[in-house]
Amino acid sequence: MTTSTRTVTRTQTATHLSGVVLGSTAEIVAHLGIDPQALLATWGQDEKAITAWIEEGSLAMVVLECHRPGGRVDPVVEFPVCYDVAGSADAQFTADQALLARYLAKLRAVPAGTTHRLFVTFNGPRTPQPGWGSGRRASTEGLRSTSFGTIAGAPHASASVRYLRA
Amino acid sequence: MRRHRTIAGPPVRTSSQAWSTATGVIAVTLDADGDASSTVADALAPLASYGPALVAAGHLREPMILRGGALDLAITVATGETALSAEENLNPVPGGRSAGGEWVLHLPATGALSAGLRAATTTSPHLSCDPPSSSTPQPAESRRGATGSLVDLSALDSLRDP
Repeated sequence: MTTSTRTVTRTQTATHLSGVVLGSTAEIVAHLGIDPQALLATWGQDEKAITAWIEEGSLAMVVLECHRPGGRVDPVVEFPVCYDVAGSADAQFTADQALLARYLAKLRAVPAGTTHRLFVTFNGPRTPQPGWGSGRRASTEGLRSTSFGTIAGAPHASASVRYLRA
Repeated sequence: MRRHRTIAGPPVRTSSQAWSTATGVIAVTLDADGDASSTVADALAPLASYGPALVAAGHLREPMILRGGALDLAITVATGETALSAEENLNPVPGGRSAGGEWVLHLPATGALSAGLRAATTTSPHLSCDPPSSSTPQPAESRRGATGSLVDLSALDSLRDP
């Protein structure tokens, strides 16, 4: 009889999910016509922070807000993370970037001068990370929410995408 | 003869680390003796901000092609399940010294980041978003794996304007 073993870690899950979420965020920002340089400039720092928070299970959601010149916040993209406390060694490290591209094709560019802000929400105590401080999310009242399903899966957690627009 | 190198990206290492590893292979290949390392690093510097994002967004599953002299090297960054089984060889690739200062790194310019990437590559004669003259891309389906869709297509349809 042939047997095989597979060992996966929470660190791997966190590394995978943070990569897919940040990669998707960069694609969305660029597709909307917003200069991604501000996001790219702090990439390493943000990637470390998000990875650490997913690994410790404190991160509830990564949120991308688009602030238009007139002050309106539209659209908002949320990446909720769901945790599997027990973990499943059989679960695969998946990413659905091809279908994210199809989804992006349906989004319209935002007006020139629109900027973005990146937020993280938590479901409990978290370890402070360099470059991140407290902030206040814009209200999403009046925005219509559409769920696109799971964009990344891993043995200990998964991330999905929710798109909110006026 | 085209040689290939695969770098293990997330979940084995972060996108930032994977990009650093990939550029490290390029540097040691072009400068095995280490006497021009700053020149290679300067040439790759315009990609510093875009590189990790290209890894994270999965664009470097398509190869970067490094050409110069007798050197023809394809570098890919594996992500997800394929990264776990990637066989890495981070040693200098033979033929790198033959490139001298006449080398070009051709990047895959796909997705929404391509416009910014193209702009970044115009700042260096060693960078290009155009494919090399005789590239033979592999069929996309063979690289994507057999994972099914996780995205709700009906939700996609609801985005269409009435």
